[in-house]
Amino acid sequence: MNHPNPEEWMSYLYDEINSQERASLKAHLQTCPDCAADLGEWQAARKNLDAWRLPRAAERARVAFAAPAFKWAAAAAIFLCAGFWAGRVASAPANVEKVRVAIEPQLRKQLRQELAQEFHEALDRTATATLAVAGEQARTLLADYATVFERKRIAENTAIASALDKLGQQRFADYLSLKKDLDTVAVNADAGFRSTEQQLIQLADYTPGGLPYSHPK
Amino acid sequence: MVPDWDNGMRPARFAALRSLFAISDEQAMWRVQMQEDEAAFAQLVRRWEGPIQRLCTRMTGDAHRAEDLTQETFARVFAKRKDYQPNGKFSTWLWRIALNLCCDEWRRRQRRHELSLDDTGREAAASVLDQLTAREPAPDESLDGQERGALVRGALLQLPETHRAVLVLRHYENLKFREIAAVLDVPEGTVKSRMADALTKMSQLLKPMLGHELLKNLKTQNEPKGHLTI
Repeated sequence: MNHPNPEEWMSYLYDEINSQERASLKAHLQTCPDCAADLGEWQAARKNLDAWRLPRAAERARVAFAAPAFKWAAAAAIFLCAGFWAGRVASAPANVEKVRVAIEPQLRKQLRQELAQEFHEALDRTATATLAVAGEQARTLLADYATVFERKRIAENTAIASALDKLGQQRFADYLSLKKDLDTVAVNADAGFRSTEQQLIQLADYTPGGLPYSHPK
Repeated sequence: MVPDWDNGMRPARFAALRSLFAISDEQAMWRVQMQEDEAAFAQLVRRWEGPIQRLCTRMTGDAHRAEDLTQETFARVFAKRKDYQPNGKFSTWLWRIALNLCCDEWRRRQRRHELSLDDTGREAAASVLDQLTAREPAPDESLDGQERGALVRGALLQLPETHRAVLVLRHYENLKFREIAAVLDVPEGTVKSRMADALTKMSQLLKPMLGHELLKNLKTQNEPKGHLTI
């Protein structure tokens, strides 16, 4: 018998399965006392877990956590307003210049620091943005250059192949022409040789004054 | 899962109306993250401090420490607001932070010997069991709620943290197995397997109590009927 695994029983126990799976597991329970015992044990443990009830502490905790924050915030706001009002009422006009002189260096220093910080941050942001744009443009240019280079290389290869082909044809034509000339030369030379030989024979047979020259025996 | 919204603090008849206009947890957390909106953060605290405090109490067994842990949880939520992923569920992130704090606290206490799982859990259970076995229960006497609760608490604290977390989230906080899997970042099958192990272990630990109750039930069933009691 194939028993469903504990994972399937957990889905059954907490009702996280569809009706078909539930019916299948229920049918198995009818025929398998071992699985029924396991499930009974888990159900009992589950039921006993409910015995540990917590007091409704959420409300108390909410008051303890949120209310002081609000009270402190309200108290701080009232205190600040009262202080501001008291300062406005109590301060004499003569003290204003004195206070201004007293706090001016500090304010200037603080303002300078803030401006410097803002300037550096703006500079960083600009540099970052510029670098990003430059990088993007460089990548685009490189891609274009690669495309053009590839096209040019293909064109050059084609031209070289065409030239080589043409050169081969020219060489073949030259070879044929040369062969023809050589044949002509050979034929002419042969005819010349024959003619010369004939002339030499005639010359040898020629004797001045009459009798032909007789060859010594 | 439905959190413990405005638990009895305001008239219930306005709850449905308020829920129509309430922003979701994720929207509130987004406002906290992007605009540091204190009102949105306060709303999140109001909504979730009850469930988080319950979780911390169940995980540590200490209601007072749980209050501190709840505040630490929300303090950490605010401190880590930039780490929150807006495409994720806020509650998953929150449960995870709270559980991590509970586990840290538990380990810290173990290291300091303030609390030993083996000792305290067993002691809590044993003290109740001693009281039960020291005297013969009267026929109409049963374990009262507090004693049963103490037994369960003691047994729960004896479970390993991973198993206790699964059991608390599923049984007490009513999260689905897949939600717990997301919180713990483990497969759903692992969560179910841990749940089965946890229930088996709880069954073994609570058997004395079960035996006692069973005995009482049997006695009640075997008593002659038609006996009037005044």
